[in-house]
Amino acid sequence: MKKDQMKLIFEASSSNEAFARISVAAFMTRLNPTVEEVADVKTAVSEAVTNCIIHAYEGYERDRPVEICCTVQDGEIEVQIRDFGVGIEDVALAMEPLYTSKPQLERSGMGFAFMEAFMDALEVESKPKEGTCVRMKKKIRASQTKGD
Amino acid sequence: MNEILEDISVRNRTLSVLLPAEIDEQVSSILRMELDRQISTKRIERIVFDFARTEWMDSSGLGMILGRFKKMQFVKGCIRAIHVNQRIASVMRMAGLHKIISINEGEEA
Repeated sequence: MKKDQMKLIFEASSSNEAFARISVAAFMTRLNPTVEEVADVKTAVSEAVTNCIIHAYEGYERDRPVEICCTVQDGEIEVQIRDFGVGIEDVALAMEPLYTSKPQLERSGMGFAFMEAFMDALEVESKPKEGTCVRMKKKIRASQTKGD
Repeated sequence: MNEILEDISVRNRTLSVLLPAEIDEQVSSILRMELDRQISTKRIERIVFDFARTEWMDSSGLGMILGRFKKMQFVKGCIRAIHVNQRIASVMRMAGLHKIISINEGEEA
């Protein structure tokens, strides 16, 4: 199957959340995913985008871009979600289930745990003051039975 | 987005919330503010979250429910989630929500 790609850039604001996850969901339909697989990817994308909105651009008034880059190839979707914000000091700690740097905001602390649970692979790269990049992959089962 | 507020009602100190199709951070932040306003002004003892229309929820929704649970503890109140679909019920269990609130996958029990 040939490689397809798309890129989205939008402002890190909660009014763009639905747009972001629905765009990725629409892009992946060519893999013929199940309803469940689409819901998994939507959740993972939503968790990463929510992190950009809540954490990445704390103290930034304007200029809060989030970049989503999606690739589908060989029945697999790869989603890369990048921000250019404050970055994460300790990535391993941030990824621990139930950990949140903002308990006063009543976050569940499950963001990274959900990305990990609903995707097949998750990589997080971050540099303080430069930003964070989350890379996730998921194999879509239905697509394997269809030739292209 | 504020049409969510029209699906919140109070009767006999029970706050009922008919949730929308998808619950993300945007929905959760609107609900957080409005529910807290109702809790503090109307002596609420129970909150019922009705997921009948809800197909999808991310961890923002869990945080929103968890936060309301903490508030309700002060008045020894309780929280119930009804008509929860299988997927959302399993998301709730992953975060341990089933230990503190009652989750009904079908009708009210």
